[in-house]
Amino acid sequence: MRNVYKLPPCSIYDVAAMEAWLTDLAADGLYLNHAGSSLFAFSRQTASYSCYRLEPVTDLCKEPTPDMQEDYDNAGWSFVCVLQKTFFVWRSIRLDADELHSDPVIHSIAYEQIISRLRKNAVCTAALALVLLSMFVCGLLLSPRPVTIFLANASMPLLVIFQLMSSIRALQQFLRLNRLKRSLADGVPALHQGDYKKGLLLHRTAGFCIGLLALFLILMPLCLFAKNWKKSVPDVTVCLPYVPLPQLEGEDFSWHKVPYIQNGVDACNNAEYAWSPLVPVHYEIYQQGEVQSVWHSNGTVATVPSAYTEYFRLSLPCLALPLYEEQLKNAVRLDAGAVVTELSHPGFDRIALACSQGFTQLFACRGRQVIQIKYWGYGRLSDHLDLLADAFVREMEHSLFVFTYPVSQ
Amino acid sequence: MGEKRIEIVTESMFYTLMAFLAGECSGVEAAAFAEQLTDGRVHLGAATIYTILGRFESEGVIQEVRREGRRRIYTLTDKGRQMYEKERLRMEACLADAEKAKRLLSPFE
Repeated sequence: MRNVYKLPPCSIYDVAAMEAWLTDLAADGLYLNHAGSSLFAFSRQTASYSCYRLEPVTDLCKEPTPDMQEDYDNAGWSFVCVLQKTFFVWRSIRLDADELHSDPVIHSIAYEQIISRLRKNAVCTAALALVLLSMFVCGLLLSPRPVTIFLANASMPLLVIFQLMSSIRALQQFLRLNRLKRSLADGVPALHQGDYKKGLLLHRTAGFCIGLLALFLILMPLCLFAKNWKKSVPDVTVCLPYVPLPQLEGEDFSWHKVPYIQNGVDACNNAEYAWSPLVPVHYEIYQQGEVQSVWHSNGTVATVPSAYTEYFRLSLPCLALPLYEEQLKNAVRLDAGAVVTELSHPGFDRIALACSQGFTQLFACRGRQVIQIKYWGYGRLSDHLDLLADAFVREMEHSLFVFTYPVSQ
Repeated sequence: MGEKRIEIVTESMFYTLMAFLAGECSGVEAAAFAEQLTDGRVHLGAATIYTILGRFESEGVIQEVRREGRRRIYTLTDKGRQMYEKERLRMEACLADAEKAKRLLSPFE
C-alpha cells in the first residue's frame, strides 16, 4: 500500500491542534503510519472514526514497553509511532475509549522533561543569536571598512537571520508547551480539538524560510570550494579586468624571471577568482616584473615593478559607490602623505588617483563594478584609463551570458 | 533531570500509594484497586498510572521487585510509606478541622 505524505500544518508542540489534524485526516481515510522529521506518512484506508492522542516521551521510557502497550490496548488505545523522539502517538477506534489521562495535574508532570529541554534549547539558541548579532554589528561599527567586511562575509547576515528565526521558533515552542503545562497543573483538563488551520500560512512560510536558509548556508561553502580558482596569469582564459604590467611599464619591462611556484601557480604572477552571493565576481590579480636597475639622482635603485588589482562585480549596485569611497578613504588613512586627485573619464562613474613616492593607487567604479589598482613602478596609470574602461565593458559583457553564475574556466 | 521533587500528593497519587501499601502489585492492579475501593469514583487513566509509576520510581517511592511476564511488580519503599502516612495525617487533620468548623458554625444542631 503506497503511503501518502503530508506536511503537518502546525508545530508538533501544539498538541491539541496536532491531535485534531490527525483525527480529521482519519475521518478522510488517511491513517498515520510514521512521522518523519518533516513529512508524515499516511496510509489510505476506509474512512472511519479514529482519534489520536500524543503522550510525551520521557528519559525513563523512550519506547512504549510491552506491558504499557498491553495496558493501553486494554484501555482502547493502540500505539502508532514515536513522533520526532518527543511524543508517543496513540490511536483509538472506540468512541467510548477512556481518556489516557484522568488527572490533569499528573498530566502536567508528564510534560516536565520536554519543557526543561525546550527551555534549554530556547536559551541556547537565543544566546547564540545574540552573540552572532553582536559580532556582526560590532564588526561593522568598529571596523574602518564596514562595506568590505559586509561584502566579504555574505553568509554572516544570513546566519544571523537564521539563528534569530530559530531562536524565536524555539521560544514559541517552549512558551506554548509551558502554557499547556500550567493549565494542566491548575487542574484544567487538556483540550484535544485545536484549530490547526489558524496560523497555517505563517507556520508553513516560517518553516520554508528556515529550511531555505539552512540549505543555502550548507551549500554556499561547497559552491565556494567548487567554483573558486587560482591560476598563473598566462593560464587564465577569461577576460580579466586589469591593466597588464607590460603595458604600464613599457618596452624595458620583463617578467619576473625565477617564478616561485606554489601548488602549480606562479606566486608572483597570478589571478584568483572568488564567488559569493553579494560579489559574484571578485578578482585579485598579482603581477611582478624583473628588477630594473635605474639610478636616480639621489642614488636609489628602482623597486621591482609590480601591480596588485582587486576587482568587484557586485550583486547590489547600491553598494558600489560606498565601496569605492571606503577604499579611497582607507588609502588616505593608511598613507597620510598620498595626494588624491579625482579624475574624469566617460568610462567610469567615479575615478581617482592617490599618489605617493613610487606608489600609485587607482580607484574606479562604474555601475556595479569597482576596481582598485596598487602599482609600484614607473608607468602612469592615468595613461591607460581607456584600456581599463574597455576591460570593464568586456567583463560586464561576459556577465550578460553568465548573469551572476560563477565564472568557470 | 528537569523534574521537581513531589511536593503535592494528588488524589490519584494517594490512591496509588494506598494500593501499594496493601501489597506488591502492578500499575494496572493499583488502578483496579483504586476504582474498586471508591466504587468507580476514582478512575486512573492508563497514562496517569504510568506517569505516576515513572515519577514514584525515579523518586524512590516505589521500587520494582520482579517481573511476571510483561508485568512489572512494584513495592512501596520506606519513603513511600512516609509519604502516604504524611498525606493521610494531613487529610485527617483537614477532616478534623472541617468537623470543628461545622460544630462552631452550627452550635445548636
